[in-house]
Amino acid sequence: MIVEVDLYSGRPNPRFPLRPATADELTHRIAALTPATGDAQPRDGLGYRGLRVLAGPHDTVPAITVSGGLVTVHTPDGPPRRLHDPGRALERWLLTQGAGTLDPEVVAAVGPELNR
Amino acid sequence: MLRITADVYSGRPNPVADITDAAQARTALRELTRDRTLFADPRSSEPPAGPLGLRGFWLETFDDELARDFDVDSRLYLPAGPQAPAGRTAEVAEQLITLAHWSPAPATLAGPTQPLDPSFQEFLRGQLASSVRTSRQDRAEPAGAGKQESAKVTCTIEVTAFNPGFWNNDPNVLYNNNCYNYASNWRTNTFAQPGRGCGSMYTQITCEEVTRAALCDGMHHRFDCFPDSEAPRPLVALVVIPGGGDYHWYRKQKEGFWGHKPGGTAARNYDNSGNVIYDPETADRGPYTIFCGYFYGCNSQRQRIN
Repeated sequence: MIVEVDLYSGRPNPRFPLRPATADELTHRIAALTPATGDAQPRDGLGYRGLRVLAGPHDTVPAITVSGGLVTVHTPDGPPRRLHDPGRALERWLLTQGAGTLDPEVVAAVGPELNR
Repeated sequence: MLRITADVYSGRPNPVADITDAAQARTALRELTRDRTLFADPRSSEPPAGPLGLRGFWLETFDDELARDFDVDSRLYLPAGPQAPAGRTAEVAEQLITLAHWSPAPATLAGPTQPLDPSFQEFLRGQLASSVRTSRQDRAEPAGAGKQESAKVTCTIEVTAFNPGFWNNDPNVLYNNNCYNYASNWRTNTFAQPGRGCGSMYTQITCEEVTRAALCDGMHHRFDCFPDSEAPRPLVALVVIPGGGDYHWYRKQKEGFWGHKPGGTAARNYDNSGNVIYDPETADRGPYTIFCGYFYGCNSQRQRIN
């Protein structure tokens, strides 16, 4: 699995790979989430928007998006599943997995946005 | 049967496309009539007046069952010229162009026809593109009081109707085209980068360097006019994040506002505060706080980007 930091508009977004064990843990963490209620929406616009999880390095369409307290699991058939990410804990944990790979400037740009 | 007639010629009979398979006709009519507001008043027997070139499409059913099932009259008219409402009209017109094989007008309702050259579909697409595009004069403000404006600082540009569905409806188009694709109004599915198409991509993200790369692709600074042969010539704007994080582009739309596409997210006409963008210099641009300037794209530039 590949995680893409959805941050840029013009240049390609930064990415980092997930080790198989981390990918398994991500799956378990998502399985523990409860359905989102209300009209929660992912972050949008210019600047940091969230994280996209891609199934493979050549994929461009995300399998999972994690953004602003909302986790969206896209399925090939049927509507996406919308899950609640309380306190954006999953988003923070997932971003931490890329700390050793991502450019420090990216981590610095995203950090304050996670607290908004 | 469903017959589509392109209302495009002035002197000769208009070409037609017949969908003879009943199931295909039913599916097409269901899809095409999903938004009834796109069609002209069914009580009017004549299409709206329009200019030369593509003005619209007639849809005709030939049995009352099909007409009844979809609650339509025997004839429907989709205006597709400059007078047509913006947005989904162009999508439906594009569907109509692609749906069936085009033929010269038959002598009788069901007379035999020979198919037209496949390039006719391209001709119709070109007509559709130019019909949703409007040329305007982009005039420089006088530099000082009393100074006469020169003809050299008035350029002709083209603005097109805001059509976010083109960019947003297909996930592959959505995720693989960025702000530079949107500004250039050219889908490459490569996340186009300024200068990559001309072989000299930017080496850092500053106004100067991204500008150099975009000019290398064929853009011009504003008021450095392109000839008519380079239409469409959109007016676009470049902004960057201080410190070199990223760049972003906006494009002026026919409706007067500006459209943009933040990376692999949806094309839109509003800013980070949710306000419609009438001035990219004062819009809420998030971290893209440096305004670099205005430029013109052109036909050869958009075909060069990659």
